[in-house]
Amino acid sequence: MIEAQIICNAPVMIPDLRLDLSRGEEIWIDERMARHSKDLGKALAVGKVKVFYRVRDRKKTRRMAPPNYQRVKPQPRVVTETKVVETKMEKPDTAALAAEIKQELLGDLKDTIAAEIAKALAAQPKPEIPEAPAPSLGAEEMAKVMEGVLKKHMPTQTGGVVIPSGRTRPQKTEEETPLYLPQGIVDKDAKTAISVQSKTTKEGGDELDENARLLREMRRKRKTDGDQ
Amino acid sequence: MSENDTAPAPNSPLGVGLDMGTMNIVAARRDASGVVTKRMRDAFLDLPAEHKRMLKLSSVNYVEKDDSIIIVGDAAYEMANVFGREVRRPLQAGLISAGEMDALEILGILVRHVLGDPRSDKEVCVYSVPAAPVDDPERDIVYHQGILGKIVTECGYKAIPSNEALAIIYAECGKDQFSGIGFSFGSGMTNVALAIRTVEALSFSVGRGGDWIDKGAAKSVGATQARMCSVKEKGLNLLKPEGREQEALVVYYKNLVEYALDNVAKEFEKIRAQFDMPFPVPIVVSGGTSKAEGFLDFFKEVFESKRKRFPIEVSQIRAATEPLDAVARGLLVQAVQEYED
Repeated sequence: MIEAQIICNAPVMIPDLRLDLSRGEEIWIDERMARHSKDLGKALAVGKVKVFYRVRDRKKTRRMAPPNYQRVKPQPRVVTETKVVETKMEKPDTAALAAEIKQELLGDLKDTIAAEIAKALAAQPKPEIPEAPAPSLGAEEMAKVMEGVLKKHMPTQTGGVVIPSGRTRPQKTEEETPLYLPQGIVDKDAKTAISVQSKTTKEGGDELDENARLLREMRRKRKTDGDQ
Repeated sequence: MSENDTAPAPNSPLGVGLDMGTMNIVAARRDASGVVTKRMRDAFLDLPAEHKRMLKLSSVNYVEKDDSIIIVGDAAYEMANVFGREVRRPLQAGLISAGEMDALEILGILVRHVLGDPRSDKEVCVYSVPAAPVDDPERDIVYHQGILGKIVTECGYKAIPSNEALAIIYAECGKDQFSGIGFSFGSGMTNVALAIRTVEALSFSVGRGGDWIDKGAAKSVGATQARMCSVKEKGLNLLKPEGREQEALVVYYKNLVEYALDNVAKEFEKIRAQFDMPFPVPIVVSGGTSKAEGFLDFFKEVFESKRKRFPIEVSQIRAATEPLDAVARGLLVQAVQEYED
């Protein structure tokens, strides 16, 4: 679109365009209006204004939408109308209401009695109940409990590879892993001439017995504690 | 059997502990006179049958098999040097090699002779099993445990497996309520166990031991593994090494102790939340590799450098009374306690 840029050099009035311009003022008007204005022509002739015909882009540059922005179409506003519904008040049933109030009063009375009995019981000395021992599960017991829970809740694995970890319990893996063991490893009829070095240490025997007794006791105690 | 068995007294407690090591097989029994231990080198060497006459004269231990003679025990090492051969070992790095069928047969014979006949029907025999190695998950202890159990059962015993390092705690920590950290520095591997009041809290092994020290030191000084083993066995003071070979051995000893301690810290961190350590526990070191002179002080020195970062409070560091027999004795404690008073 072509427009006329009028730049004022000296104060001037352009009556047919209804313009009163002061020095340095700049306005834009339609090209046609400018070309048909006689007063503008006169002012231009005396040098009071300068007129340039230019193409002006009035389109505004649109802002870029942010990435991943999904435009949502504006939804029509839903206008809900409120309706006033008139209901007729029923005449209250006084007999039923009385029965209900009576029931509530009885309930309150029961609560009061219960509270009084509880107070009386609390005032009496408590019977001594031994405290339950704190569970002190060791690694093996914990492992057994965990194993039991897992077996109960996990589906049975029918195949796969057993990868031994650093903490594999050898006693258990034997039961779980299929293993080929050759028969008759010990040949009792083999012709041998073998003499084995033997050493008897007199000291340490009593300590060994004592350790065995202690170990037996501690294991028994652990087992009893575990059963309880 | 022709071994010099001592007949057990009729009132001596039943049960036997059997330590199956890469280097030695040790059985321990309770006798009226004390604790009887029997030991045999876990090695063999096969020779052609024509050497039989010579072997009979030299009174070495041997087994006749088809067309060959198999020398077993310490004599296998001596004969290997004479004939310029390498000894064969039924166990490799602490575990039975699945491919060695000959070795199994020999192992069966060795175990039968070390154990002797059971003193009662199905006498309890608790045998040692290493924990699975943390640094080599491919190595399987299941086969090892199964085979040993089978051998012991075939010898007429009731076989019960038990952790090797835990046995050290049963042998040495009775006064500590069976709480402690047991280190078994063996030939093929190092086993570690932490027990709190008899309960095994942690057990693992690392695939480094005496053989690893020999191999590493040999490589660094350009010698053979056998040579380094010989230097070690002739007498090595870990606190005063002399010459390049001994210095190289000390470097590998230090690395082994550090590696074992680091792995204790690492493995303990995994279970820290599950256990409450109610009191400081002692460390007991044992095994053939710990027999080097000054090992205990050397271990203490290395431990002190790591104490600040060590997650378990340690009350004392001590050596087992009998480093070579401690595991067998601990297993015997377990076997004896299987019988009611």
